[in-house]
Amino acid sequence: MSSNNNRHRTLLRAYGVEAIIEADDRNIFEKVKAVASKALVGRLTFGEVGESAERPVYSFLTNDSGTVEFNIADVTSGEYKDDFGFERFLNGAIRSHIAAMSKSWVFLHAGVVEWRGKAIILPGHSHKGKTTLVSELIRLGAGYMSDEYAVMDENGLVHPFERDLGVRFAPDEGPTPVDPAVFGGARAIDPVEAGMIVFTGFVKNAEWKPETITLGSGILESVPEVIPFSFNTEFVLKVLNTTFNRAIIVKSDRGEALDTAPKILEYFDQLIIDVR
Amino acid sequence: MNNSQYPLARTNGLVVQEVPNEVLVFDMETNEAHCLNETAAMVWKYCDGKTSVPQIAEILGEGKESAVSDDLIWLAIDQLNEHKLLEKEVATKFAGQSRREVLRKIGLASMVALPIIASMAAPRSVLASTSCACATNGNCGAFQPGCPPTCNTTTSTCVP
Repeated sequence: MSSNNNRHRTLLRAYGVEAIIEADDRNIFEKVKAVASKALVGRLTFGEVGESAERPVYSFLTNDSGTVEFNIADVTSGEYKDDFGFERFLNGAIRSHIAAMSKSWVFLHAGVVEWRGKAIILPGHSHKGKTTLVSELIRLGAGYMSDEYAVMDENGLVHPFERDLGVRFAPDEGPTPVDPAVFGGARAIDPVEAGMIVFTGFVKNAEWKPETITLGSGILESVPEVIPFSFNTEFVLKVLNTTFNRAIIVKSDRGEALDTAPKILEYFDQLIIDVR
Repeated sequence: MNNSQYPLARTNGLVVQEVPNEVLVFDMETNEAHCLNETAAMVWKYCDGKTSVPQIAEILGEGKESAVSDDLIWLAIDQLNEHKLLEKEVATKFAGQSRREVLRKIGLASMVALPIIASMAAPRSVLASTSCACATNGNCGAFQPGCPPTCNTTTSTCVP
């Protein structure tokens, strides 16, 4: 077991959350920092740990038998592995932990693109075809904001969380990072107001038939996608209310992303024309 | 006073957000969110332990062309019961009738929208939906709702 003296430590700060990264192996320490940086799309800083208040710890420490064990803030733990799959897991675990602990931002699991100066938000779990739909939307000229989170501030603005697209090339494989430029898409830079919230999922042979739903129903539908809802509920509800209140909220099954993406953009454009 | 004629809304352990024509309620105990439509929200609002069911019906009927029936209020209370949004469960008066039968009866006559409470469970896990990445089986299934139950440790991905 490593002693405290041999541990490398740093204080990670991101989205108003602080956490300590500690490891007794220099290489692992640097790798974890790199993974954290990637997980939080560079929106973090590292600093001195200091002696102040207790904070969550991401530890990577060698046990008596020489195995490196990880523990992410007592949420998940196990054996550290030096491979791409574990790195992907760690990336998700750090990102989710920061998202969950943030008191000043709301993270909604969603694909997001910018279109006509507004955000189109597609809430949904993994394995629901979000990335495929986002890829098609940016191929049609929408700005890429995220295929992972709609990140909302207290004023209800939607911020980019522009990691590479996580494209799955086989159903039982993890996603492979792909630059949105591959799909001809530009990354959106500035925060924007929400213009449309789209609850949709792939159903074979389904047609895109959007039906507007109420603000309350829209917020309710998004509850399973908020990371996680119960930690900061009052703030989350307020932010979702502010964000969604500016948008049209629609729900529809959909067929192939290739067919649906242009219909979503056309539908949004028609809404703008109707409003004018 | 909290008998079936004077229902009392629960307040403890709830976070309430009003939106236009609806009320959202998050129950910290059950980890569920509820959306009350306007009628259900109005009934819940007047469940103050002092206002009787007929009085609530009267309040909701103000300004309407025809009276709001007590049955409509009971229908709302039945759902408030079901979602544990009352301080104490109250016995509703639908003995021997299914909700569908009551709905049919009220729906045809009512000038007020039927009360509806929709619900959704919130994820409990901090790691909910981490792209179905995993280190152990414990990171899959219920830990990440929507992900398959088994961790393929070679690819660090939850698989069926």
